[in-house]
Amino acid sequence: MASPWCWSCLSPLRTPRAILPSSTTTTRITTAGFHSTAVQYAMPAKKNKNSITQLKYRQGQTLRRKKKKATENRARPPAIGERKAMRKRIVLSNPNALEVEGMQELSPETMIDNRLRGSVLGLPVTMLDQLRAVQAFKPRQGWNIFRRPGTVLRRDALELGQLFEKISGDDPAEKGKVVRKIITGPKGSGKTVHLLQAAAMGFLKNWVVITVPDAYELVSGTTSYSPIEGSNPPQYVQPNATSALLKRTVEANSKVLESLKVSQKHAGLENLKPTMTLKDLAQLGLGDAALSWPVFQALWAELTATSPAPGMENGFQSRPPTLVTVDGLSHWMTKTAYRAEDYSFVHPHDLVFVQHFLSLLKSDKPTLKNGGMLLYATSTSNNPSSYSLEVGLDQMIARQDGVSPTSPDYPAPEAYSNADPRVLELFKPTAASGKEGVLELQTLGGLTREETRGYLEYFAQSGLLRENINEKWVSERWSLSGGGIIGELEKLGRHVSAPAKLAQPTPDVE
Amino acid sequence: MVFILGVNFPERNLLKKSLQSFFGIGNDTSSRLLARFNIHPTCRVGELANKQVLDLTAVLSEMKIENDLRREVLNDIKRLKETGTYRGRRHALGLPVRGQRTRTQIKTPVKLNRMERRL
Amino acid sequence: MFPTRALLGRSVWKGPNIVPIPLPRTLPPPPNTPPIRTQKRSATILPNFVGIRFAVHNGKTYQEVYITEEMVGRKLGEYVATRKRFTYKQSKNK
Repeated sequence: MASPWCWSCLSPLRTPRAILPSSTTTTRITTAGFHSTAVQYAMPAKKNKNSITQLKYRQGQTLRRKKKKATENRARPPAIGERKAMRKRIVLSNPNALEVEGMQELSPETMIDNRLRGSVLGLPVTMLDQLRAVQAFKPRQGWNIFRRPGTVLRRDALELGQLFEKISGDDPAEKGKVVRKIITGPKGSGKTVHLLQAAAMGFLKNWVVITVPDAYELVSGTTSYSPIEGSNPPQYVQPNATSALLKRTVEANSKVLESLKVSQKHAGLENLKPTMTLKDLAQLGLGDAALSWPVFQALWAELTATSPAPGMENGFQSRPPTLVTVDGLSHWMTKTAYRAEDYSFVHPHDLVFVQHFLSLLKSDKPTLKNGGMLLYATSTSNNPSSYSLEVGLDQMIARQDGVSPTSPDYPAPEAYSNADPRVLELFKPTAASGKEGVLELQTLGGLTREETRGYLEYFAQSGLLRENINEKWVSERWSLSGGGIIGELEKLGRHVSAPAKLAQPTPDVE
Repeated sequence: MVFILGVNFPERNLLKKSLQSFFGIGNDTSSRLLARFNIHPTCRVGELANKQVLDLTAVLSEMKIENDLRREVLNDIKRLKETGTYRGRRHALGLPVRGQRTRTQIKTPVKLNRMERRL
Repeated sequence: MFPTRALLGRSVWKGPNIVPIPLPRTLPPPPNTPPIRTQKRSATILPNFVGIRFAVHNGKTYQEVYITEEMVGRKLGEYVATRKRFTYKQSKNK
């Protein structure tokens, strides 16, 4: 006979229900040992006929719940443009960060000072409004973690400073030169901040700074466009985008433009008086978007004028050099979102705005007659792939390495690759004429270890890092950031971590 | 508020979507219309110049849209029914017209295909 | 791009499906002419068929169709149903 005890857990085994006399006489066993099966089978719950759980014929047996009513959101939605403004807002100061003692400002002297290499130079407070006006700051560049905005004086920035010094200096061989550069580099390598530094230096040197902060806005189909009558193939002006460009230029350069008088005759602008300053001229295009393109052309003609037109000599001042920066160049090398009348996509080079800035890259005829600098940066965060641009940049690298365009090693677009001839044409070698420098390619890389140390010390002085900054730690961060990529360094630096020795010691247990 | 073909559109609405509210104008037709008058795809109704509104209205009034189009479609179906074709019969019976299976899933034709079809 | 998939039945280069059909000598045929019996349901209705009566095979019997102007360009078979509407019949012997 089987034992009434379970030998594994020493609990009495339940007698099967079939053997028991009847359910009414047996008391229900409530203690559940290791075996609960028999308890559950002992007294199956009686079905209540009145309850709604009674299943009907072919009714699903899934659990049915009442759906929660969506809570009505009675709050007013944010006003139009408010959320975008929040997204795009730029905070340049953090009152919680420590003030860095002995921090130097960017100035005509410090921007060429080799001894300051690797240190963070503050941007002059008076210039911030100008830099904001040309939209040189972008959100998420980490400006909001420091007491005041500053940039590292890295090697590339020093070289840039020296170029500014030369172009607006007194040396007749260098004065009035035109430097053309396309700036590339991996993600986070500081291309946009390089443009910002250039704009800041331009303001310091009293240049005219003209920027296109986002090339994408011109081709994404978000601003109005209209064809120029009689142009074949049709060319398009973008009145609102041009008006915005004029607004940026006027706001940022008002001091320089106020000091210059109109010196040329411009057809098509009736209410232009010779006594007007260039600022007044540019403001003509702000009110009336339809006038903005002729006004921009007039402004450009004035800025590149070397001598006054006959009859307008009084008060002519020589024009300052011009800095032109464009960010996100590759958007201008693919197709646009605009459609022509026959529903084909408009080529970006058919937009006169874009064409104007791209034509400056050609060095065979004088463009910026008073000298200046053209810095066109590619972007890696919003970057359409353009095969033709890649080939063009490869060709530039090859030329800089000394490969002749006729040699078989010179990169050419692959057969059947459908490379855009208009883009490739842009990167064909052109001879330097006079003071017009040829187009160069500048690739930004990482900071050196010394520069990295200077940059991270700035984090420590701002109270963001608590580590002891020594050689070993810096070189560890340098490696972690992919060889000093400054965007990665910023991420490492802002990650506040308390070192182990600062942790609370556990009280001794008594 | 801007009147396009007698319909009042709020100024903050997208023009492309507003045009699509006409019966007979979809995504393709509306973007072709925009391209024809060199209006950018994200244009709002309020940004239109007066001339562009007139141009659009002129073109729309020549197109077969709204009631004209409805009438044409209904007439086509009616003709099929009257000549006694197979397709006409399927329309009248509330069954799929183009050879779909009828074993399952014919909700749409049951809903739409009637003797007195409405659009 | 196709305007509609419904037009994809037959390639345009083939032209209409012209099937030799014994047409009456005189058109329109005199009254009391017997309808033309045919099994060629896929024959395109040509303009000169207008006014003729056909007896088109539906798979079992021949049904009469009188061709009118509106039917030109369609097929003979379109006007003769091959299926019966399903009706439930009470069967007595279970």
